[in-house]
Amino acid sequence: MIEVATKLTVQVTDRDGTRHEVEWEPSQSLMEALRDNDMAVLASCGGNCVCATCHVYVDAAHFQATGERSADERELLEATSCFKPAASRLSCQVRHCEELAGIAVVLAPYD
Amino acid sequence: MTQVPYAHELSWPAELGPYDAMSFAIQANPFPWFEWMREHAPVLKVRTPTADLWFVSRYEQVTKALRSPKQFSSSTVDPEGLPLLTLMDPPRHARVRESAARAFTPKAVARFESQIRELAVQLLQPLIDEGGGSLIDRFAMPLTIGTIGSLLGVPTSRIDELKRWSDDLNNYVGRVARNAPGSANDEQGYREFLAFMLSLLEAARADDTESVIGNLARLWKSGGLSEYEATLFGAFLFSAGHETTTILIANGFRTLAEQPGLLGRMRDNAGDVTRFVEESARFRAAVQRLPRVTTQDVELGGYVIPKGASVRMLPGSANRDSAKFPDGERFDIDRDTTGHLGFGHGIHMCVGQWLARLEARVTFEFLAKSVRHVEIDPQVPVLFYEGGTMSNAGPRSLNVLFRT
Repeated sequence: MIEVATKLTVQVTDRDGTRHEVEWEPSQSLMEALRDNDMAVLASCGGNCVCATCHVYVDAAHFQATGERSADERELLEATSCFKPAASRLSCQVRHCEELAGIAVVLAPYD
Repeated sequence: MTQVPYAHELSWPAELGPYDAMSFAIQANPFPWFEWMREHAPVLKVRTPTADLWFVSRYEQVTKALRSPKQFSSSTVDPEGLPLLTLMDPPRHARVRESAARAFTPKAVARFESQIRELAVQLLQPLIDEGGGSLIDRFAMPLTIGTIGSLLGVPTSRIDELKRWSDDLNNYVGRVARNAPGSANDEQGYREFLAFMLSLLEAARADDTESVIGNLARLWKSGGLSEYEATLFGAFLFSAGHETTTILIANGFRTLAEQPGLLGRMRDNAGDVTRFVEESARFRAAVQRLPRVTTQDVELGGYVIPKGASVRMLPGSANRDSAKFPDGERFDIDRDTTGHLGFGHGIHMCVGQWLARLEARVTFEFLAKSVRHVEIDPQVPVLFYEGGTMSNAGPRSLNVLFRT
């Protein structure tokens, strides 16, 4: 993945269906961009891939570009009741990259 | 599968004796027991007056359990009767935590940095000018109480009362939910603390205050939180927000007395302050026990823990597990601390972790610029936390001497 020094815009649908647009800085993980723009992402563990409270569904067009899920991330996601194999990511594990321009995410329900 | 032994059935080194889950002396310095447990009995049981407790000491198993809230529930007692955040499982835990979480993000707490620095200088400079003094009473506690009070919207003019109520809350929760002894009159102080919090929520509800207390008041008003949830959450955030950070800071001073070269490194390199704080949280975690109860029979590291067992995860022990952190019993400012459990692990990880880091960083940045040498005053005994939830461990009274 090529990191680019430009901000991206993320389309966010929150849990009650409201849509938002947030800016994603190159230094941030996707979770940090969501959290620092006051989206309702709990991210209890602070971004360490140990809690699954930053779970999002990524739109099909960008899912592959978010990269591979690690074994730890997969295990945490599979333990949730709302896991979607072709969309679920822990947003703390998604890095900023050019291919994610135009990404749209839906905040997964609290498990 | 290996049979889980009782602590009293094992052959402990003579200088230690069996691990005693209720011992205040062990609460003050549990590390020699933890080291032996990791090596010889990574899962063991201890008889206590109220129940058998199961202790888990290795990093791999502690982290596995803390990532598995469905098997290892936090509801050691039913949170219906005591609606405390740390007793809640998903999804209730997320709903309540969310009511304050946004006030504790790195970005949100960064707004308080200059205010924290001002307070830290105001409190620490007189101690430095006097060549030392009572670090916790005169610096760490007023700093952390003042800071959490500002952030939450809790007036802190009655600091002694707030400190006593915080102790009563811990003792009450310890007695009711943590198999701990509690203290005389803890319930009375706990009720007073909740009544004080209710008065703050009522005032905030009336004038629509912008603060964590204001937000809890709005959620209470709209039915998002019950009165008991809102008052107890406010009291819990206040109490947790100062006691553990006080311990983190006090332990940092102990380390500076033990390793005199670190002050100079921090003076010359700001990045070393951040590393010092992380390694301090790993080396002497403020919270040494994380209670869970099994919801089913669970296999953990080759042992079977039966359904309904009261389990205590030992993050401070996991933090010194050399399988994860080589030479883990040594404080090493240069080590990679990634994955340490000084602020917990999993969904219950410390909500105030970024604030605690900030307060500690500000403290040690100022200290490194202001003094050349720190030592613990040999004339005054160091006192440690005793009882409470039996989880918090560290100094509650500590006198330091400074050379500038």
